[in-house]
Amino acid sequence: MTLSENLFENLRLELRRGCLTLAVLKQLRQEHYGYTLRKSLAAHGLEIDESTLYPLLRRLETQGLLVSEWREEEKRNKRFYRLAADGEQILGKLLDEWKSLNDSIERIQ
Amino acid sequence: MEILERYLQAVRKFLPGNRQDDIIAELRANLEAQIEDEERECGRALSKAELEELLKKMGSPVFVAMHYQPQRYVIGPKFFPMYWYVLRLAMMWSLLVFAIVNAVQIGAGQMGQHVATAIAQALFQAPFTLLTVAAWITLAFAGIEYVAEHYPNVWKSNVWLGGNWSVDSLPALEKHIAPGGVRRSYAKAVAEVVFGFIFLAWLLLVPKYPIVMFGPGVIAINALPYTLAQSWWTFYWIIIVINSMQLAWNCIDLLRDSWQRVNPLQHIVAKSLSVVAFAVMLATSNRVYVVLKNPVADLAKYGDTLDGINRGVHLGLSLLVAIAALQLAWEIVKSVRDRQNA
Repeated sequence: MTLSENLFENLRLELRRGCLTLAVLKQLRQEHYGYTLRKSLAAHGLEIDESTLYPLLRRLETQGLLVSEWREEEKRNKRFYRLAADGEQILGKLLDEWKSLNDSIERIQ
Repeated sequence: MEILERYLQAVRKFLPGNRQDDIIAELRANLEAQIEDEERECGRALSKAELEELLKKMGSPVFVAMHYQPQRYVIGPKFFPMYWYVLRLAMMWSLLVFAIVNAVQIGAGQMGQHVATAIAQALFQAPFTLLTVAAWITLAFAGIEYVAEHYPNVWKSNVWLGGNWSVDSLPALEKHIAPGGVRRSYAKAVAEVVFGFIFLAWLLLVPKYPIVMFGPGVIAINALPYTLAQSWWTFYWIIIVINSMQLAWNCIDLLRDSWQRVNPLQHIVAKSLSVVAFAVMLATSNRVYVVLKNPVADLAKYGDTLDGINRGVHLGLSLLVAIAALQLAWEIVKSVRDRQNA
């Protein structure tokens, strides 16, 4: 990887980090467990590694933005996540911020 | 599915103890769901190679487990700039104190050993002293990072990092550097101070230990019938004063954080004093720079040679003073022009 490719990759990851959190929170307005969440994000064009997504879910839960519960589905115990009440509030604010940033960037010629 | 169990077992080893079971159970559920999904898609059980490929895509056990750990820093990005600033200052001052203490000890002959051995020993010890200082500073900042992370209410890091700063506390604007002027690097400014001390120590040692200047040649010099005239002492002490002054200026520049630019006035004053030193030498020497050690016995034999040497030294010194004075005049004119253009 050249220096410029490396720089691009670092900047891309930095840009994606916050966006992925936003996408995960938004997607979890509907309940999912790790694997189906990953699939539904991928279906919307957002590929995310398992090793990034699963720990991210844990972190967001620790921060009180998500709630989870173990439940049996198709004879298997799975951990289902959904957006918490606090998470809904913060998601609303984050989406406003995202739209405002996006509009500003669009307006810059 | 032995391969999956082996993978999960390897991941478990790198996970935090109190969350191992929970994380592994969730990871297993997700991986099994993924495997079932892929098996459903291709209508058969996954082969060993396909399973291996799936796990390889997931990442190595250490890599996967690492993402479940909270991000930890010995010294995080919040404190690192301050750490780096303090470390640089501490390294510079400790090197300075180390150089002074050793120069004084060597000069005073307190080391109880040969000068060259004492200098070599001091040079050998210097990296260890610096490493010790760096270790303590790092340890202190690691402690600060830990407290700030775990007790944010106790440690108001924003106050410590200048949260209460005022515009009045900003340093004065640095003077303009003339086009083409050279900005000194920090390393160069520190090196100038350190080598300044070493040079001064060396200069002070020369009268007592001429070997540090002439090396083994001192034996040949001692065998000569000539020696330097008394007038060289005046010259020697003026040179010591000039070097001490320059060193003091460089230290003050470092202390005041104004090391980025070479002060042209300091440079001109130092150069003027050098010209003065040579001029004083010319004026006070009565053209006698070298004398005979034993004039009664050697005058007849070496008298003519001695006159020749003194005439040569006088001519050389006169030329040197003239060239240095011209250079000084040119630098003064240039400095005035730069000041007017700035």
